[in-house]
Amino acid sequence: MTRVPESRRELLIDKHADYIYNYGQTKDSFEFYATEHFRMSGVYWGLTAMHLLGKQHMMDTAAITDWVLSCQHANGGFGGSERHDPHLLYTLSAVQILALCGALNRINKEQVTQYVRSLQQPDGSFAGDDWGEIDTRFSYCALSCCKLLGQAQAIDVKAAASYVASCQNIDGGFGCTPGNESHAGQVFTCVAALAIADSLHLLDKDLTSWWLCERQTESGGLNGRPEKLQDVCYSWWCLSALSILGRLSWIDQEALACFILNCQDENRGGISDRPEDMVDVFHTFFGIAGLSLMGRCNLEAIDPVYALPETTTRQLLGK
Amino acid sequence: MHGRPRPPVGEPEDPERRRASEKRLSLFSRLCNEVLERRAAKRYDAESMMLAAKLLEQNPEVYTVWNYRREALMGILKGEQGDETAAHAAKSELKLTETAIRKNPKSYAAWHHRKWLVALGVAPLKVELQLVTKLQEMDSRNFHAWAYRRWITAKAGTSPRREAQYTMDLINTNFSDYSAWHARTVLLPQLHAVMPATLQKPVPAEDSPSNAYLSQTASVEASGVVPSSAIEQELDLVEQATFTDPSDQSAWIYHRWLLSQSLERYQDAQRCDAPQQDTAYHELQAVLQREICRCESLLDAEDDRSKCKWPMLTMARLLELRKSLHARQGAERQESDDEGCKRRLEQLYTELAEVDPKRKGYYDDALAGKASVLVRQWT
Repeated sequence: MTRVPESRRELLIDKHADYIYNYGQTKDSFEFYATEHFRMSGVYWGLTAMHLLGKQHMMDTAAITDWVLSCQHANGGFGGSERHDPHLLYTLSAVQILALCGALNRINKEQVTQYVRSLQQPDGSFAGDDWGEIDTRFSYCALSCCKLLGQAQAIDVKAAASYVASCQNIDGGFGCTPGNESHAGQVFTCVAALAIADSLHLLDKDLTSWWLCERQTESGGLNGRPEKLQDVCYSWWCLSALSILGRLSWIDQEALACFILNCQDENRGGISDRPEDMVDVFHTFFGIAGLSLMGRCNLEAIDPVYALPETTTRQLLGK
Repeated sequence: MHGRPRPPVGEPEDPERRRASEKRLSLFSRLCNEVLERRAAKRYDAESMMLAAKLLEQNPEVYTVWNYRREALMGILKGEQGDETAAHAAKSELKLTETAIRKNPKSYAAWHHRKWLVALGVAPLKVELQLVTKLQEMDSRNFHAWAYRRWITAKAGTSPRREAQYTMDLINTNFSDYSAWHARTVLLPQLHAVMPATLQKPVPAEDSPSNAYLSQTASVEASGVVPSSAIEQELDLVEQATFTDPSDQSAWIYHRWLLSQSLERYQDAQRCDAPQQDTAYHELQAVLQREICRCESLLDAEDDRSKCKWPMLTMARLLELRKSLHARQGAERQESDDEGCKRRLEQLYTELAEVDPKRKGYYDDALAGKASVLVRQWT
């Protein structure tokens, strides 16, 4: 097993909280501009991570809520930030943030679901926006969004599930459209989508779980596809799916936890894709979320289907 | 950041580097602001488009700016300003997307823009296939490129036979090319299927002289399941790959699929009359017997158990399958056979948990009959 330096054997909670807090404050960096088009997701990753760390009080939820609302368009959809077009990816992030801030009553739920509904295709799939890109990621966004808003009946859930099921490959994984190669990120979106649609019977649980557990490499980390390098983000993509399928025991959780902890930047806070790489808020969230799924480091529990703290989904969905 | 090393701690920042990065930030933020302001003002003039292109060349994932270009170009590409303007616009847009894809071959937004152009009919499919082939030479695992290739070949009506040959070439170059093995799992059933939809497709010029695709597919069984002769050929291919490197999972995952295809053929035959059922049973028996022998010889040839994970796992699954096939057929078996099989499975899964301890939980469940990755298909 990879040796973990002493300073990284624990989750550096305060350092990560400071790192995430500062990420939201730094507005004069190249990254700030380069990531502007997906800032909505960035804020969601950061805020959810803060909740898991028990540091949500550090965040100005009123300001965040106002900002999220400022990104909504007339058609009901949300953009990646104020200056960007509406898209399903960011509409889900916006709904997730508002759920975390207890501010779902600030939006017109029917209007948002109307937007989501407008993107469903005759075959049950979803386009990401009016420009027609189809991907099972968008199926997940649509299902999660409508369910969180208590509006699942607004879309054709059965058709959505059967499209997702049609993207399952012979290795048990899922691709972005039928026939395309399995990818762990896509497996999470498809398994979680089927879970929301109450259609997990459509997949071969053992086969999917076996493909997922084969993602663990010698390093303890998980990769996204066969013969690829491990990366902290798959601590979420693979693990959440294994958790939904009730097969977390099929991987070596201890080794994975060590790998994640070893990717912490003990000086500046944050978690990177692999040890000694530069950290970012995306990997920081997925590392913490992975540890939370495994019940480690006294973190708040995360819901593997909705990628939100369990306290939030319990409140919203009563589960 | 994917794959970018962490800067060292405590070293004073080089003032020259800082100035360079400040300049980069200022240029980039100005460009972003300029483009997004013009977008908000719905300015579709040549200068605005040039700035938008400049931004996308640097950051191909900014989806809003691709939307901006589509709004500006839709009418032009449809010929509203004459054929020459349309042709010129198409050419430069294709060039821009190619630059963007080369800058970030994993950019969803850039690939989607390319598809949008193709869907408008402004890009010859033959050229697109050549381009994506070139991009796949740079990274044969890029799933965006593969998805694009599938889309283009479906549109062009390229024969599955030709695409199967392409995957064969890739596999012969590199047995670990999982993407190519995956592609075969999609192509082979297409190649052997006779579905009305396939037959109704226009036959592409490349195939029409001999009508090869039509005549060959029309003669095979009316089923999406791969015929046994083809399965056998594929099993031989896997044997080559696994003998070269028994620890490479790509070919083994493909192998599992081939077994499931054999199983499906057997199950299909259960709906037919007795002689056919009998043939199918013996066919499957023979496949299992041969594959068990192959795994056995791989295991015999390797003393280092840590390198034997895949042949051991496959062996265990083959034994499970054979056992359950016999039980199903009501074949005459000695109690001692079943005992022997049980002991062998115990030994295999115990050893697997030792050589591959990360997946001990799975092997334990498999031994306890709580995880069935192959046999479950009986039901």
